[in-house]
Amino acid sequence: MTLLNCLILAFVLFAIGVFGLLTRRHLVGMLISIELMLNAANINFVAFAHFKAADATAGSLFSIFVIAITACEMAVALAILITMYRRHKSLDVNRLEDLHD
Amino acid sequence: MTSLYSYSFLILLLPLLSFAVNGLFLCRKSRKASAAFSVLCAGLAAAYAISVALAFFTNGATPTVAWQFRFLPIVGDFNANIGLLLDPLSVMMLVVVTSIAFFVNIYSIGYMREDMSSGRFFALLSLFAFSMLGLVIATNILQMFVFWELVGVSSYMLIGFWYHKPSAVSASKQAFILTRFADSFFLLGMVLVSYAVKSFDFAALNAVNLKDFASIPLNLGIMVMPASDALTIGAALIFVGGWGKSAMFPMHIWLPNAMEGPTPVSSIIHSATMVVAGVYLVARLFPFMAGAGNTLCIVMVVGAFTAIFAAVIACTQKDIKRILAYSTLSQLGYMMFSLGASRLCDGSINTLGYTASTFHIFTHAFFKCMLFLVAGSLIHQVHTNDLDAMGGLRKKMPFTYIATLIACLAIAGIPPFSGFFSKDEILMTAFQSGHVAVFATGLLTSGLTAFYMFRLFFLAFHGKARSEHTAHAHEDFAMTLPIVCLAVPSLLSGLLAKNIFATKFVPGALPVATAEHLAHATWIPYAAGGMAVLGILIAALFYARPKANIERALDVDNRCKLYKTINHKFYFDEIYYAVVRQFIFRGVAASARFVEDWIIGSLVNATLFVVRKAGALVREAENGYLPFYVGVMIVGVIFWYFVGKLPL
Amino acid sequence: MILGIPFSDIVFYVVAAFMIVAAVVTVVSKNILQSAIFLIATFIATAIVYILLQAEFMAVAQVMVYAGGVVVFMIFAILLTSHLGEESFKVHLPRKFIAGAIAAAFLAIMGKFLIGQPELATATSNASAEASTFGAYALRLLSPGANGFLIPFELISLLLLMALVASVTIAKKDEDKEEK
Repeated sequence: MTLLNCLILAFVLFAIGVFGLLTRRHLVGMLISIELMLNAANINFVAFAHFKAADATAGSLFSIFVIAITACEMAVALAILITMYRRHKSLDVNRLEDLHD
Repeated sequence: MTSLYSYSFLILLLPLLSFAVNGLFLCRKSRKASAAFSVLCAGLAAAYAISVALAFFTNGATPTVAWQFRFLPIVGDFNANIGLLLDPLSVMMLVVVTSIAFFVNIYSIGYMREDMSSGRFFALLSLFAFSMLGLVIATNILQMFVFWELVGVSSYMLIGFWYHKPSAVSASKQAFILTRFADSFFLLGMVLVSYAVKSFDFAALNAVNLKDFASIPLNLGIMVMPASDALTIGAALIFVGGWGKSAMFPMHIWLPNAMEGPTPVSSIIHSATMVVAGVYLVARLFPFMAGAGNTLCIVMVVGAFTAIFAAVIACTQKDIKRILAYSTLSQLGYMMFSLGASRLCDGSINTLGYTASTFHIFTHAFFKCMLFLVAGSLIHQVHTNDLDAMGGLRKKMPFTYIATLIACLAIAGIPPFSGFFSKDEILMTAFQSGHVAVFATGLLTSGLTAFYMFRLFFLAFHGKARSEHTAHAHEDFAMTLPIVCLAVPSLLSGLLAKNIFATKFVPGALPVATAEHLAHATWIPYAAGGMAVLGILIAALFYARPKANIERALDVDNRCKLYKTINHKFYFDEIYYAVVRQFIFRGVAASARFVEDWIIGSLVNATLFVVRKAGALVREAENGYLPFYVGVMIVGVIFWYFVGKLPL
Repeated sequence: MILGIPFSDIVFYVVAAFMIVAAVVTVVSKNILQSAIFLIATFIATAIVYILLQAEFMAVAQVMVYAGGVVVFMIFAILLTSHLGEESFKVHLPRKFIAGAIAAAFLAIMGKFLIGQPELATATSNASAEASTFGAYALRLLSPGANGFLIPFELISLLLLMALVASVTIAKKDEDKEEK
């Protein structure tokens, strides 16, 4: 297990997230893909902190904040999704075309 | 005194403030407030101008530039400046313009009382006052040109003030296009002259001595000519600008037609101030013009011909404002030929011409402005411009009657009214110049002036009322007050200002010799006065004699051919109409239309096509489709790696 | 030590393979609920990787907040908004290709970066065992001194509260509309 392995893992996860973000039609599905991408970034943080940083604790704690902020983001995003669902009766992005008004 | 001078730009800014405030805020809110504000600003400007004038003339009347700043650097020392020049001529014009603007503003309160858009009127009147003041204080010819065009624009907007009247609209267009036509020559001359002299400043232009420029070749791109020739041509071209603005023959037709505008406008713009801008231009550049070959000869011939031509037409008109318009033309002709006649046959300059012309600008401004105000008053009461419907107003409007009598005597040139002194000097110039024909023209015009003015006077005020409105006419306070106020300078300005003009209003250093020891003909005042009295007597004989046949006098149909020709203004409107129709519309306009339709139009369409296609492309991108946006964002990040400095 | 490979490395490879498979299933699964479940699997695998990287505190936070909180929240949202299995969102093939190409381009760029850094493969941890204990993390997080993270921690808690209030406000039913 080297830093290289961790980074490859993180990048692959991130690419999968990108792919999911672009192919998903369900809004929750897109959010899940974003979660994947954030997770990949977190792995990066922790791996670099472990292998490179002089102060490993500080580096890892940074991802704690990332997790916390992600939680906030998810809460608000899901609330928005529920209101959107109430209005459009669907979460299909193909049908959410009033964004361009 | 220096602080008085250094703040003298306030004279200029007060009308501008009035224009801005009236035009932006007051004109839609309250007509009374805009009138009050306009009068206040005009009054303050007039008071300031008069105090500046008093300080100026009591302190030796040395020309000074009160302030100046560079607003367009061109090349090296060659700059376009905006400044405020105080010399006898500009100070005199400051007083004239501001005081007349003040009186006309007061008058307009009465005249525009029933007009719903009088707020706009006051705003435009202030704009005009601002531009005219900017014109007279100009330190250089470019500044003068800028304000010259501004007065043209405000004149255009004020002539067409009643834009619902087709005749007013076409008159405003005619005035604007005709003066613009002349102004294009002015612009050409200005460019030529400033290119040769390498300066716009009047001081530099007036210091030009043609002999210094004779050996300098001037490359005009298409040809090379001696700079002195270019300067002579430039002087003539600049004069063409004044030619059009002062409505000299044959560009005179716009001025009578401009009478379609409200009467206060005719009073301030088309008699007292703007139309003398042409004369003012020649006077301002007098040393330059005097040196520039035969330019002053052209000025003289044009002026003298216009003087008699317009006077003849004025004798047959029935529209009260048109009579005054032709009278204005005639008087402008006087001023012009006075300037032109300064140049004697041997090329030396008689400075009396300059003095006489500026003096006549001064006196004429007051009595002609006032005559127009009287005409406006009459029109306001009688509801028509036509002398047919007037008569017998003497008893109804006694103050107006007396004031008009003073103004008519002044314009006719009866001593001691103001017009007598200036006209006397003009005739003296003409006599001393040795051009007998011009002198005779001047003398004859003086008689005709007396005739047509008293014709108007008798027909309007004497005899019996010839219409119902006339019988119920009464005086309006706001309109009578300025008239009475203006009667005072009409009466006294000649007597009081004669010495100031004789001593202070002499042109600066001239590049050519000054004529000395000219014959001083003592009989000229008597001859001029005699001609005027003769004119008045003839007018009285025709129109005021108890047994006078007014119907016959006003009849225009059963007349000889000559009378009809004159009454139709020598068919100049028709000639213009034919020329414009045949030559401009069919020739110039049609080819311009072709270019417009086929060349410019297709260019525009091609541009439209390209823009529309590009727009469609961009619109495709703005599809509101979330995954597309996300994809573009990610592609953008990847792309950034290739072109940008992403630290990867 | 198995076949000359350290035990922790074997665990890492196995977990990594599992994580990638789970992530792929997460993004391609037709059933949105299924992908949420596989997201939990991915997160738990990530927690294991954290433990291997001597960040136990992170692993616990990951399981608690992500697997236990966020994804459960997400599943609630899915259950609230969709009728299970009824909605099928078909994705056109060209779109998948484009998405794949973009993802591949991203990977290619990252790969180029990794190839240019040979020392990544030889980097060794210099973290001391004491620094990565649970207590050390907690002390760092809650100490107000120069090395502590108390103020960001408090700010984050405030942010969470705000997000909570905000999401409630957004998601609550519009009373004006109810009355109509």
